[in-house]
Amino acid sequence: MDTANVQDNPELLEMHLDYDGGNTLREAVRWSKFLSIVGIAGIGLLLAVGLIATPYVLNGYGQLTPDSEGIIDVLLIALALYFGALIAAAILLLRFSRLTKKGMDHEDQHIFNRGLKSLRITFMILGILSCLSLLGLLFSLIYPM
Amino acid sequence: MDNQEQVEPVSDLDNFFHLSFDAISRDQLKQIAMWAKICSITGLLGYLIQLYEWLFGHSRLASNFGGGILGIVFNLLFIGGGGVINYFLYRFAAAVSRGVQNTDALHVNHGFNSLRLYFRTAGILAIIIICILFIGFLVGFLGALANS
Repeated sequence: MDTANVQDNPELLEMHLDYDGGNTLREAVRWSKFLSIVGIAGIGLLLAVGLIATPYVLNGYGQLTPDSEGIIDVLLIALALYFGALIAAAILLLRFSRLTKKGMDHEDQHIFNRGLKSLRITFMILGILSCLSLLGLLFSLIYPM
Repeated sequence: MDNQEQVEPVSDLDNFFHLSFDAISRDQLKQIAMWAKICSITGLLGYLIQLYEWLFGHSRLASNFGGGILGIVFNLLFIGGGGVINYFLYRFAAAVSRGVQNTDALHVNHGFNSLRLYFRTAGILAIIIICILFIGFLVGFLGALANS
C-alpha cells in the first residue's frame, strides 16, 4: 500500500529529521563547536588583557575627577556584563553542539530537544546583544565623539 | 473515505535518525527562528550603517583599521563577511519558521543547511582573523626584537 490514512497513523503527520537534514545538522554542530571554543578562548583572553591593562590605561590619564571616575566605573561594569553575556552565549553554543550530537548519536529525542533549547538561549542572548550594539552604533552616529 | 487526507508513508531516509520535531522541539524551533531573525536583521542593519560610515562618513571603524589597501581589505572582510553571515542566518530563520508554520520538515531540514553555512562561514572568518592577529603579533614581536 502506497498511501495511508492520517487517522490510522497519526505519527505520519509528524515532522522528522531526514537523512540530508541530519547530516547538515551534524556539520553545523561541528562548526558551532569550533566557534564556541574559539569564542570562549578569545573573549577570555580579551578579558584577561583588559583586566591587566585597565589600571595602566587609567594611570595614563592622570588624576581623575570624582565624576569621571563614576562614569568610568559604569562603563567598565557595562563592558564586563557585555563580555560576560558573550561568554555565556559561547558556553551555551558548546552545550548545543554537545547535546545535539549526543541526541543524534543515541537517537534520544529528549537530549536533542535540550540541545535545541541551548541554541534558543544562545540566539536570545545574541539577539539582545545585537539590539544593544545597534542602539550604540546609532547613538554614536547621532552624537559622534 | 473521500475527505480523509492521504499522505505518503515515512521512508527510512525520512526518519533515518529516529528523531522527530515534536511539539516541544517545534516550539523551540519557532523561538530559535524568531531570535535568529532579530539577530540577522539587527546585524545587517549594523553592517549597513558601518558601510555607510566607511564610504561617506568619518568612520571610527576605518580609522581603527588604518588607511590604504590594508584598511580597505579589512573593511571589506569585516563588513562583507558580517553581511554574508547574517544573510545565511536570515535564510535559516525564514526557512525554519516557514517549516514550523506549515508543518513541513523539508523546509526545516533546508534551514539546517543555511545554519551549517552560517556556522561554517563564521568559523572560516574566525580562522582568518586569528591568522591575521597571529601575523600582526609576530611582526610586532620581531620588530621589537630588531629595535632592541
